Amino acid sequence: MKLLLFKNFKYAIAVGLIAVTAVGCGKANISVYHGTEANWDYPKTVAILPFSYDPAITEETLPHQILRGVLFNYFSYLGYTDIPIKTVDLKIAPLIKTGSSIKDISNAQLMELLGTDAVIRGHLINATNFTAGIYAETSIEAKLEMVDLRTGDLLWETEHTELSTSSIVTPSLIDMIAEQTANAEVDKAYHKVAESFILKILEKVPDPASLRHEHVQLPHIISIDSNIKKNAQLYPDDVIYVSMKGDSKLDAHFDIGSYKTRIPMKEVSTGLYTGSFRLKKGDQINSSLIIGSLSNKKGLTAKKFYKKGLVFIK
Amino acid sequence: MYFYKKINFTYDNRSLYSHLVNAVLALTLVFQSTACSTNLKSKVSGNLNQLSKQQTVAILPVEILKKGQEETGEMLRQGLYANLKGAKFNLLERYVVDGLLKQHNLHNPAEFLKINPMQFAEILGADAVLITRINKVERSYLVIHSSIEIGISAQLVDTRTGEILWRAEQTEQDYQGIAKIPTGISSAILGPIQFVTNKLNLHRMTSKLVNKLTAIVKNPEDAKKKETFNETLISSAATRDLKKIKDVEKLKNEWIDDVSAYTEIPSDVIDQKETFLTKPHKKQESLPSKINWRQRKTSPKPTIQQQEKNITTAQKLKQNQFPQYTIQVGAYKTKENARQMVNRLFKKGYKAHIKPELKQGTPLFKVLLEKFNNKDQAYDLANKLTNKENLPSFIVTTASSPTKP
Repeated sequence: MKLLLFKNFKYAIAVGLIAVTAVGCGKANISVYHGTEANWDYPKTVAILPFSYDPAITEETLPHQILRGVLFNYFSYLGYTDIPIKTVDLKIAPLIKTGSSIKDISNAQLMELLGTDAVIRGHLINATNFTAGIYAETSIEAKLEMVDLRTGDLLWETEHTELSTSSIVTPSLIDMIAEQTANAEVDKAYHKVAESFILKILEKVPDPASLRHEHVQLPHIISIDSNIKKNAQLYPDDVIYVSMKGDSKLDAHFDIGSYKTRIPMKEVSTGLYTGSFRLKKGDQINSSLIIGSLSNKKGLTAKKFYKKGLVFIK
Repeated sequence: MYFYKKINFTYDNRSLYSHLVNAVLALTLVFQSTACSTNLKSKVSGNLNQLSKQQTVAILPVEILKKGQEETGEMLRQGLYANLKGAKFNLLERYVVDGLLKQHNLHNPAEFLKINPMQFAEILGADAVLITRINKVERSYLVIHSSIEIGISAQLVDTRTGEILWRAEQTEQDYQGIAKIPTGISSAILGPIQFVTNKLNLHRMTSKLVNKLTAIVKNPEDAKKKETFNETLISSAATRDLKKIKDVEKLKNEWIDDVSAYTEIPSDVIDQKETFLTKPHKKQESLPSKINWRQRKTSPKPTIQQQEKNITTAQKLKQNQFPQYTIQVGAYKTKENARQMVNRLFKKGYKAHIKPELKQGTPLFKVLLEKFNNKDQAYDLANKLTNKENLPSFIVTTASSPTKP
């Protein structure tokens, strides 16, 4: 009897340890071939290509798309300038339509089409999702790699399996029920596993953010002026004129608080932009400041407030 | 098989079994609903809807209150970026935000709430900033019970207006232990240990917390009435500075009305006054502290020689014996308004008094502050009034004409 109890206890401990290990600290193995250490020419712009997947995967939920979407969302935290997935898809669509697969597109072609320094390729090897009473499982097995399009160098690669299970070894009954219920929602279950997958990968992916901190530079606005002086009250049909001096050949606009935004300005001479806004009946602007903005092609915008007067409408 | 053989299904037993099952289910439901508790208070402004893909939001580094919360702070910010990628507005990339903050020596997230949002607009070029703070990260372990609690607060501020577009406070709590009905003895002992030590659990909780937190920001049109601000809320830093702009403008307007009452201020005095008024605000570009005083046009300025002639020896003696300088903080057409100003200053500990005068037959009530023998002392107080009370002022002699340095 004692022996039986001892055996049961040993079994329980073993199961517990397996549970802790299984649920716990699975880490992703990622091979980094080129780090960012003092490498000033590390790729800065990246496109995440559509992921290919194993023909055996017949999931209706398209886990490869979920994984790609999650990677895009989290990848933006790193110091790369990443192109929106939709833009990438639109840009490569013509080549895909001609029958080429992603794998067949050369680095040079991709660089020309996307205009990025690097791409991330992904291949979904396996994906599972099933809920069966006392056992539920969702897994994603995929291979990811980042390639420098300028040199053809492989920067890093990984092949990882992320597994989420719930069974009798789950520490508590409540968790077991909750996990089984959650696992039945296939999309969400894949999303959750994809999140764990990507977070583990990104811990080790080289991040050039610190290298770029000093080089961030917004467009330069020298001054902004307007015909609005002090707290003069304005009436419908009054015109607000705004002029702004700054870097030339950029996109300029001004805002009246948050009430009227992106009112276009025109570059009338080198670095001098002007714009106007005629007030209409019904415009309700109270204590609004005029804000001039200048945007460059990188998408960076500088702003300057006109502080000599607030816009009031009678 | 053994299980079914063992239980003899008599009517009574079935009833007992049924009660037992019901009780377990009820307990399960109770525990399930309380197992992972969330306390979320979130409110949005109607103007949040106006943010579109043309507007940019900067997610600032997370403020932490205690050492050791750095990792949770990073997780939170990472989660916010990932979640809000799907929002209706653009996100300013993290390296851009961090790079620009670094360039402007803004290293301490605890200071962010004190900074005027307009300043963030000029520093980052963002239309709104998201300021977040981790209020608590608590892990507790008591042999058969362990828990993790994370509390955060978030505020999205429109940098163009200072309006608070979204404000939220959330606490997420989860635990592992006997109350969750362990699946065995080992689970009862190891479960709580695993729960508090595994970093992934904190990550999962943070992720869950961010999902719930940002849901309303991603779809502000789904906000219920109770989740919407009743009136426009302006962040305190913006209110402070907008108030400064308005106060200065208001005073300018008030004083312009009475401008002819003031003796002309020599231009060199204006220059000096502007210098000391603007000096403390050098760092805060957003504050329009420069005041352009209008000069009286009613009579030509007397020459210095004429002024000197007009001052008699007795007057000179008097000036040497009594305080010569005072600070004028306002001039009002009604005594009541002047008295209000005096009361306001009195409450703040200043000795103010009213000096009634007649201006072209119309009464005028000047509010003067303190008396000084020394002009520098007067400047010091005038400076304090500008910096501390946002109160424009100028120095006059007790003979009521503005001083010449």
